[in-house]
Amino acid sequence: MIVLHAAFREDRLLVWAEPEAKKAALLAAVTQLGTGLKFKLRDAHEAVAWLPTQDGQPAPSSALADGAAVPDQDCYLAPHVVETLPLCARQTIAFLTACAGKRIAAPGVLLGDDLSYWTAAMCFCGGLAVRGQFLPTLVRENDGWAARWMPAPTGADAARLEALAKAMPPCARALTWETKDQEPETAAETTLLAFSSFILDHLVRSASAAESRTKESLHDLWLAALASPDASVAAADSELAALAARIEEWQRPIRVASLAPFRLAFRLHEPENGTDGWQVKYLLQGTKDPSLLVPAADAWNRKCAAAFGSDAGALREQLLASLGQAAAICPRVEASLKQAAPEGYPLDATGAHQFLRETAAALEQGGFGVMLPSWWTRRGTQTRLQAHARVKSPAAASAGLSLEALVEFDWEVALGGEKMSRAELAALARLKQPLVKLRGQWVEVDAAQIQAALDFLKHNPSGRATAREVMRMAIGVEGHAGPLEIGGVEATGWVGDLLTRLEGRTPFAELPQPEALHGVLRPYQLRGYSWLDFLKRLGLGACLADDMGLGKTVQTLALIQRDRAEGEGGPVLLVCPTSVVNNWRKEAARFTPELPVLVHHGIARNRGAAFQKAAAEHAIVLSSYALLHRDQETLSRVDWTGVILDEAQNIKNAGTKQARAARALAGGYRIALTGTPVENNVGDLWSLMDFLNPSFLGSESGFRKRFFIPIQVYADRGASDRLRRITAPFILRRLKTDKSIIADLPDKQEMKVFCNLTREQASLYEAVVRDTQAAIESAEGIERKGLVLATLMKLKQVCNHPAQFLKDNSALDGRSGKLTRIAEMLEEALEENDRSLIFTQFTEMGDILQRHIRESFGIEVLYLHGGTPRKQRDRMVDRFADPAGPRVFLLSLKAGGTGLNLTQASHVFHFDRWWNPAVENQATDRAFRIGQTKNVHVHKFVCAGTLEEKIDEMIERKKDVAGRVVGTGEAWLSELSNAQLRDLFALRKDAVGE
Amino acid sequence: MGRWDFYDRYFPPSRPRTAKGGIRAQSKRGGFGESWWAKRWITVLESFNIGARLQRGRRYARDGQVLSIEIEKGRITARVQGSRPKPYEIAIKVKALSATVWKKVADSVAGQAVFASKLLGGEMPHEMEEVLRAAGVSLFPERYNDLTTDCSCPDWSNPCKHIAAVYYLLGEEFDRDPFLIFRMRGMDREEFMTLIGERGPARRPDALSPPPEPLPAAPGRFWKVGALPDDIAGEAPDLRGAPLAGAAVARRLGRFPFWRGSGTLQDFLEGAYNAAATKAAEMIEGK
Repeated sequence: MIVLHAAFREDRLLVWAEPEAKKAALLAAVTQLGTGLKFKLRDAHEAVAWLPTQDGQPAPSSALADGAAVPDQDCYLAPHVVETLPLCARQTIAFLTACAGKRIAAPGVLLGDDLSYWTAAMCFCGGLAVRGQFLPTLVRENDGWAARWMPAPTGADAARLEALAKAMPPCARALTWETKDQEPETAAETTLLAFSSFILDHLVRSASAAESRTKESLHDLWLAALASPDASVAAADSELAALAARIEEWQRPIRVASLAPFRLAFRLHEPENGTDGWQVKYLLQGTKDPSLLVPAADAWNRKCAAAFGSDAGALREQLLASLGQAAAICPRVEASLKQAAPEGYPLDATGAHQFLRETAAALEQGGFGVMLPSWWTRRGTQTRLQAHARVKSPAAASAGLSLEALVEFDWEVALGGEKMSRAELAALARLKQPLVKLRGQWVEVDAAQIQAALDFLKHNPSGRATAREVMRMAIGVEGHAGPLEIGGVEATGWVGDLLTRLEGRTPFAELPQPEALHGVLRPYQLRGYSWLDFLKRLGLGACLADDMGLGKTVQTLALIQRDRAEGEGGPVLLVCPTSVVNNWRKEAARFTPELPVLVHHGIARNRGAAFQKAAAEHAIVLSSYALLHRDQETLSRVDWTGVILDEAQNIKNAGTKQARAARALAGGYRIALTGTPVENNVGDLWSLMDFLNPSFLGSESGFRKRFFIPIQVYADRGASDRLRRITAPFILRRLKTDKSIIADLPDKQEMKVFCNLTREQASLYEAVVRDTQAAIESAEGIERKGLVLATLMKLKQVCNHPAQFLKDNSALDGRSGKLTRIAEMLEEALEENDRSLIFTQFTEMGDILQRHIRESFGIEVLYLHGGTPRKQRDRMVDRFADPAGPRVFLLSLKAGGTGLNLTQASHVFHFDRWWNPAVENQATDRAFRIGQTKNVHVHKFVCAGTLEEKIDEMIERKKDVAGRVVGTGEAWLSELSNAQLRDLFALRKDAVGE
Repeated sequence: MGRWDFYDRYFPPSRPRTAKGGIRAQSKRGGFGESWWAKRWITVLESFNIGARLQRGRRYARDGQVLSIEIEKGRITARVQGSRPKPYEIAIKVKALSATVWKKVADSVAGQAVFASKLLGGEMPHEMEEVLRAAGVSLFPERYNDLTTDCSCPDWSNPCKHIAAVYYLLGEEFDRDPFLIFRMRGMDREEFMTLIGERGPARRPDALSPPPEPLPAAPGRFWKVGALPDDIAGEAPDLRGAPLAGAAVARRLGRFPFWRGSGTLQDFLEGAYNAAATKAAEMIEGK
């Protein structure tokens, strides 16, 4: 495991790796990020890193970097020579862009937190460039002069700069090129400014069109150097020094503004009760803390200088200068300056409207703060003219509930959310007042717009559309009616019922549980399954995104079962990751044994017409994502009753082959199941929604522009609210922490997780059985007992992972069905910020799991085994209890079995089984104790078709008497007869999942 | 049109040598100076009745023949490229106003915010002329006696076209910074502000570089990233509607003192800021 870090020094971002890596390893790690950059060995250079050190060795940055964490007080700072890869600005941008949002570059290559810091800093520089918060300068640079673009943040950007400087980790400035004698003398703010100049200068320079410029004067030379890759300016030193001084003089107003602790701001005040008097008031607004606002009156009285940490004279000068500049933009400001201490000026409604419409923007662009009433800034949805559709429909739909039914509606116009009759609108237009207080709220009245609305109403008093279109208007997918924005739909009758139920405002009818379903649906599961049925009937796709462990499987099976009972004969295609194919098969057999299930998987699977015929004879066809694309032709031969995607995050990238194949499938209804919080991953939503409800969110590029970029890059609340409103009707997500869910759940919920064997595992398994069977059958007594137990142990190891059985320290990924599955489940648990305990009986398997989880997720994994000293063990328990501590705790069953209290975990995984329920339960109870406030999900891993499943079945059958029959160890298994053993060891065909 | 000298020798009209990288007037045609005070300055020159030399002066100013201008208290020096290889040296001396006069001015100005704020905002308030008149002086030199001009060119007439060119460019410069008029009359910006009680001794606005911060030896602090602002990139740029930042920044910066580039600085800046905004948006949007 290596961790990548970066520090900024002079004009390069120095990327290095911890622990100390050779050039080749460093280059390989950076290359694995997929930056598109090419590096050679000679690009790497040695630098000196000043690091926390203990006994001459650098202390690891986290418990993830190999090596044990060192307590803070035991460390001192010392220089270490490290290999670095110095990146220029262009490379830095490519590198940090590739790092964005990742914790690991590749398995085993972790990205340090400092890299996410640099990514944020780069984003900040981008914002500066977007808003023009930079200036061209001429500066001395190594014996010469260079034309540079430098950051000059003001207002909110200055506040961001300060916050960002405060957040800088010291490691980001801990590298030097110098010798080991002197530790770097850097400051966070200086380093951040240097980095910002570095990025900004490159951005502006490379964006400028490299036109050939005449170079007659020094000024021409300066401009040419600002726009070309080479920043140096060659001329006489004295002339350049004079030019630099001129440039400084020229930029004085902006520099003064950016260094001043405050800026001038304007606030528009509404008239006080009943009067017509609007007011613009002058204020001083803190640069670094925009919420610090002081009325101009206090500044004239020299009262507030201390608040800004400035002297009264400077404060006054800047206020005066700012007012002078503002006077050039707004004549009313000039008029106010006749007084000695102006505090603002009065306005009438027309003046106020002009201020809102024009002056405010001009002042803002001029660098002043502007504060407007909230009804104006929110006007996006509040004060504009909007069309509302009023739908009147009968109480019950004549031909059953259908979105294709035509409904009639009347258009209505609302202003500021208030319904307006035509007469009222006309009267309003006649007022010729740009701002009108309407039923207690100020609204902008645009006569032309009102006229357009009146014309629209005249020609389109009413409309006709399908219920589907009405629904699209209601949730905000459909934007315009003629010249008007659609504000919403009001409906009575069945359409109204439909809409309120879709939006979740009224509960929909709960269906009874299907008769043929084995087991009992919990109340929330009944609601979930009814919801799926409700959307299905409407022909709408649905995404069930319940937390892991809440039973998405059984809700889905209930839906299919109900359909069959109602006479639906066609097959449903259920696509899932290979790792859960067996689990689905087992769950279907358990809950809906009457539904015939076809597994379309493995080499022997049917294709073409044979498949078509076989599919028609089954209720459920199980297949995997890999085959979705590979068997596209075969799968498209069937007219599916429904298509269900399990672990639907598999199609989150719309461009992948499997995502495209999923969207291309023809079928009746569509359902997606996922345990990840889909609604938080804006980037993944489009593909999922386009599968569920094609074209609902428009094109992918349109989605990027309207939602993804505003939400992800600019944290635009409005856009995320709109997106949530549009998608909410189609996503049902319940958390196990929801109050209503907790009440429905038992405190401890146990489930089996059926896994596959890989082909490698299967052949190892068969080899073990082949090699030992004869020996066991010819042995007796103690010898036989030993052989049986040894074989059991070997087979368990094979089921766990080939690397555990072979003890060859080989690669891990993709070789064990269990390992793949636990990684998938952990990913969900981690996304929900849940804590997990993982038990295994084998120390070697513990090592494998720790390595794999660490390297795949870049997180710390605690591991407690028989060899862990007492002191360390207590510390691990404490750290697991710390809310900021590690979230995965591995325990070997014996070590973890007694005397521990780990009630923070909400998931308990038994990666392999101790064939003794008593021992397992004792381990589970580490997490489940008195005082436990959350539900605990216990996942017991079983390889289907292997001895694991068979022993599990034996225990289940004798559960009530288990304590007596199986005793306290696993020895009871050696008492089985040869025939029983032969049956126990035999590998069933369905075990292999490839 | 040439001219005849005292000895009846004819001198053909002289052509100035092409100057490279001189100061170019921002005005391409018509009058010089946009503000009322700049126009007033030009009027003084034009009232001297120097005929065709005015026009040539304008041409010189627009062609970039003026190589440099320095404004000191009560004295302006300049270099102008004429027909000889060596540029001509020009000096304009303006009568500085006495300390008593300035004190009087300051006293009558201190009561209204408009004077200080307009001056600081880069404007010469109209009222300033009246204030000076009340003190018995004028803001601009009105008679030839108020000015002493000198040029190293062989032309005997004074003011010559070289002086006229400098005079025009000064007008444009006063447009940009009216405090230069005060300086010409013997009063610096900071001095004047102090005089009217607006601020203490002059200080340059300078960001102090923060002192070095020692690196912590505790791993817990050494590697720790603090809380990051969640709106790190700020608001979305409105790439369709409102004009981009370029225009606004260029406007806030105003004119460059004695610009000598072949193109206008405003155009260059607008182009650069707008191109950078587009490119930066692409970067943060991860394209």
